[in-house]
Parts: sequence; C-alpha cells; structure tokens
Amino acid sequence: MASYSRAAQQWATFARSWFLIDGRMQPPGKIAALTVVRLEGRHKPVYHALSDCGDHVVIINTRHIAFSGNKWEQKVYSSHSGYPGGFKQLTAVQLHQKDPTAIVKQAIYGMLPKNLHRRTMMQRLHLFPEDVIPENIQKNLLEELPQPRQIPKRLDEYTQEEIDAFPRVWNPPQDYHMK
Amino acid sequence: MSKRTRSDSPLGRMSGPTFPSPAAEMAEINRLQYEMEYTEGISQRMRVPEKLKVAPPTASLEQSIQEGLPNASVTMQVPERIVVAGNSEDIPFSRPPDLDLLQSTPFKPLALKTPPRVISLSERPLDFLDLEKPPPQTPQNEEVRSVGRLKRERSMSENAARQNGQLVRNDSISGLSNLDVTIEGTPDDMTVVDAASLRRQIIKLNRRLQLLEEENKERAKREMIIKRWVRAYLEQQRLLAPPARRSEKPNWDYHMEIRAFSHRLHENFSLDLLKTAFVNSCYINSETIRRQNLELDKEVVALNLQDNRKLSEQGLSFSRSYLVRCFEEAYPQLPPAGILALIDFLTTEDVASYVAKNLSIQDLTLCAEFPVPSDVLHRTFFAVIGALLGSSGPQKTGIFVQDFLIPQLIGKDLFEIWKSINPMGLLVEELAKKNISAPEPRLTRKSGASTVLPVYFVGLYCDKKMIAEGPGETLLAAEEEAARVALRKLYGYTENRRPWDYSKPRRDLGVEKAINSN
Repeated sequence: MASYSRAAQQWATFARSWFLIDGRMQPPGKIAALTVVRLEGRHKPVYHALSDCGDHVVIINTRHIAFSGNKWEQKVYSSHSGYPGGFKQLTAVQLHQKDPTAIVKQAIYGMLPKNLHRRTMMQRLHLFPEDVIPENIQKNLLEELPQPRQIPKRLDEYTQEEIDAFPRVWNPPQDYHMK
Repeated sequence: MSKRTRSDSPLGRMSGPTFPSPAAEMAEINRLQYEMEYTEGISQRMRVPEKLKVAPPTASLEQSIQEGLPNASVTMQVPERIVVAGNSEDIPFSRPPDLDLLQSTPFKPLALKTPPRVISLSERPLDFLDLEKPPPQTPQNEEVRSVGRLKRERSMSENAARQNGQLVRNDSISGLSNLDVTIEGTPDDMTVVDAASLRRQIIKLNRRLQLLEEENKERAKREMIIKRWVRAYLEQQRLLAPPARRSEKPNWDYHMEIRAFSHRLHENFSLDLLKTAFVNSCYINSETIRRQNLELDKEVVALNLQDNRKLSEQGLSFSRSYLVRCFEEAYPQLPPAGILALIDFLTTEDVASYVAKNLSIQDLTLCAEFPVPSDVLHRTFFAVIGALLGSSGPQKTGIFVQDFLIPQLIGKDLFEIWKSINPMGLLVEELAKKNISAPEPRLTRKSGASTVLPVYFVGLYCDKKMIAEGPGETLLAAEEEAARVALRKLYGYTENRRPWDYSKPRRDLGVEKAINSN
C-alpha cells in the first residue's frame, strides 16, 4: 500500500488481529454475528476459506447480555449425553446461571461454518463473563469494535438537568390533579 | 498381328495372384461373352479402349455395352508400368500402391481390352506403324479421337481419384491417359511418319514419368504416420539433445539475420559496425586456433575481424551518462548515491543479458562457448548500443536505451536496488538539510504483542505531524520501515508516483553542448 517494503507489506497483510467486544446490554445473536465475521476472516480483502486468515475476538461482560422479548424464559437449549435418559433441556435463564459464557458460545458456534475449521475458530474466541481479562490477552488487543445495539437509558440514569432540559408538551395548571 | 494374338493373352496374366478375385471372376465372365468380338478387334490393331472407367458405370457406358462395341468387351487392367525405354527391371520403385486400389474397386464389365502388365517399347514397337489398313472410321471413333476424349478420360480419372481421395493416382492416370492419347493420336498421321518427332515425344513422356515417380515417393514419405509411442521418444530425444547454436541449425543466413535485426528494432544500423559489435575476443581467439590446427596458410585465411571491446565501452559510457541525466530530470530530490545505485543496477550483467536474450542477441553473437555466458552478452549488448551510437547518433541511441533499459525498473522498489544500512540516519540528514527537526517515533498501533506473530505500526512525527508510518515484526523493525517510507516520500520514489513518461523527448548531448556553447 503506502510504499512499504515487500516483506513489511506482506507481514502487515497477514498479521492476526485481536478484537475486543463489550457484550453489556447487547443481544447475543448480534454479538455472535459480528464475531463470526471476524473469526472467519471475511472482513479482510485477502479472505479465502483455506487461507487461515481469521482473527482473535475477545468478548467481555457476557454475563450482562440482554435477550429481547421473553427469550430468557422461552428459549430452550437442548442436549443429549448419548446415554438413555440423557436428554437435557434448559431454559436460557438456567443455562446462563450455570455458565454465563455458554449462551454467547452456543450462538457463535451455531453461526460458524459447519466444517473442520470451526473448532479452530472457536479456539480463537475468548469469552469472559465480566470485564476482567488476563494480562497477556489484554496486551494483544488491537481495537474495540463498536456495540451493535444502542443501549437505552433508564429513567433513573438521566440527570436532573437533562430532565429539566427536556421540552414539555404542555404545562399543566397549578390545581391540575395528576393521577 | 499373329504374334500379337499369341502374346496378347493378358487375361491369363490378369488373373494373376496380385489381383483380387472379384475382378478376375468378372474378367473371366466377360471374356467368355465377348471373345469373338475381342479377337476381331485385336486383330485389327492395338487399340487402347475408348473409355477407361473405374467409377460405377454411368448411363453412357451402359449404352456402349448394349451397342456392343468391340472395345467394350474386355475388362480393363491398367498396366503396372509403362516403360518407354530400358528394361522393366531397371526401375527400382515398387508398384505404386494406389494402383492396387484402383483395380480392387469392383466395376461393371467395362469390356476394355487389356494391355500387358509391363509394356516396353523395346519389346513391342508401336504396332500402328505396321498397319496396312487405316482403322475403321465409325462415327463413334471419330468423336473418340477428338481432344475432348482426352478431357473426358482425364475427368473420369480425376473423378475416380477424388472419390478415392488419392491425388497420386490422378497424376499417374492422367500421365497414362496422356500416354494413351498420344499413342492414339498418331494413327492419324500414319501416312506421314516422322520418327524424329516420335522420338521427341517419347523422351518427353519418359521425363514426365520419372518426375511422377519421384513425386510419388516424396508424397509417400511425407504422409507417414508417427505412432503415439514413437512420438514420446522423439520428443524426449529432442529435449535431451545438447543445446546448439542457431547458426548451426538450418535456414541461417548471417548477413540477412543482421539486416533483419536492424529492421526489427526499427533502427538504421550501419551493418559493418553492427557486425563488429557481435564479434567477441574469445571468438577471434578460438577461430585463429582452429585455423592454425587446420594448418592453413596464415596469409590466405587471415581473420580480418575487429573486437567489440571499443564499441562496448563506448556504449556503456553513453548509456550511463544518458541514464544519469534521465534520472536527474525525473527524480530531482534523489541524491547522487541513489541515482548511481539505480544506474549500477541497470547496467549489471543480469539485466543486460536478460534484455539481450529477449532481443535475440545471443543468436547473433559470435562467441567461443555456447550457451553464451552473461558477461559476453552484457558486453555484446552495450557494443550494439555503441554501434547504434556510431550509426544513428546520440538522440536515437538515447531513445533506444530509454525503451529497453528503463522498463527493467518497473515493479522494483528503491531500497531493493539501493541497499542502505541506516535509513534513520539518512532520514535525519535529509531532514536537517531541509531545516526540519529530527522525527519522533511513536507506536501507532500494535496487535498480538504477547504472541509469536506480533505486528507493530510505528509513526514518525516531525513537529507533531506524521510524515510516515511503517509496520514491522518488532518495534525496531517497524521504526526502520517507517524511516524508509519517509525517505521514499522525500525522494519522490513512492509506489504511487507517476509512471515513466516515454513519449517525452530528451535533449541529447549534442544539443546540450550547443546550448552551453551559446
């Protein structure tokens, strides 16, 4: 590109990047979509399925993901141990309580291509329930990706100045009884 | 006549072992049918049949059969060979295989009289000369004797040839039909027999026959099929063969090749200068030694060849000076060390020999060894440039050098050619010349620092503005790369610079001198 030497240009092109995503108040599916693109390497113009050009993705705050709708109670994660009577079905809540990274992990695993590269890509995925990351991984990080969902503000998160500054539709009279 | 009837039992010979049985059977049948008419006709004269038919019979032929012509009585057999002079054993060529096919095609009872297998004039003189009676002039005979008959015969034979796809037979048949007609035509002039003219005709025919036989043989050789298992072996032999000079292979005319070389390059070389340019000292040495070994008189076979050393030096010096001026004009910020590095690269042996090989100079050089070594090619290439300088002048030579040497820089990076050890020091010097403070390196981005494959991007900032950024495996490597990028930008030799302009005419030495003198 910008007049690099040949060796330096090649090194920079094929280097493996480390991305960080914060999962707080994010739908796990959207998080998974972003990470799968980066794990495969499809965000690079030099992508090829056999090139092994995927990057690392670190997801923090997986405990604080947010399902839309009633999925916490209604989404079921099933598994069978292989033994008779080994069919287990867990709701999202139960699974999340058992393992806070499992939901995101399952989402990503299901979105990756169903071939032998999948396991390799899963090894390049690093999930952390809170924002505590080991130091060696922290040193590797290149950049943080923007969150897919805009987090709405709760009413108690607004400051008094913002509330006052908000335009009122009408000013009720003094003796108006508000129910 | 009597001897003819006795000796002319061609039917017996006809049913010989080489003929396939259907033809022989038909011949037998026809013989029995038409024997009477046959003996009548043959007793009159030796007469070549009216129609020589090898294709399936047409209506006209059937008519003739029904009319019961004396000629349409015997199945025809084309003689194996017609020898006009000499013995039949003298001819070494085998019977053309095409004629076999001719006889193997089953044709309707054409009822033609059969001449013997081998007719030789020495055995059997032309009998029509002995005839007393003129041949009966039936209306059919008259039209038969016309030239149109020749054409018909020719066309029929051609048809047959086309049908069977053998041109060779066409020639031989037309030859034979020629022969037939000529022999046939002479009965008209029987009253005035000119032996000399006959002899002339016979000689002509003889020559024609010999040509045909040779042509036949050539064709047979050319049409030989190389089997697929032989093909691979021949290809291997061709590849294993030691490399030979082009001048030792066929179709080589040195003078013409030199002219063609000059013409191909769209240049006007003086040919003796060019020829001198191709002569190397090693060739002169080897040639003199060879001539000494042959023990020839030195004065007789003295080698009056000049070396190409002087021309080579002239060419090299001209190229260098020309390229210096080119680069100074194109890259004004590039320091002299850089320009020197570029020119040194363009005049190396590798580049020169690559260009020379692609201009086919290695075919034209006279050198002791083959394949021509690269230093010889390098010398010869610059000798050619020297020859061009002598023939056409500096301007044309400059264009030549520009056209063939400067494209060798395409795709090459400056620091690939110009090896520099300390780019950072060089950068600091360059910036100091421009009164800019030394650059500060800062880490712009990094990834995978604790892995075995890290990448660091270091940016160089002068007065808080970034002048260059470079990637690297380690921090030091990245800093060095950033310095190189900065230097490339300063010298104007980036990857995205404007490509070389070949259309711009450059001032040559002569003009410059004139300007300077004025």
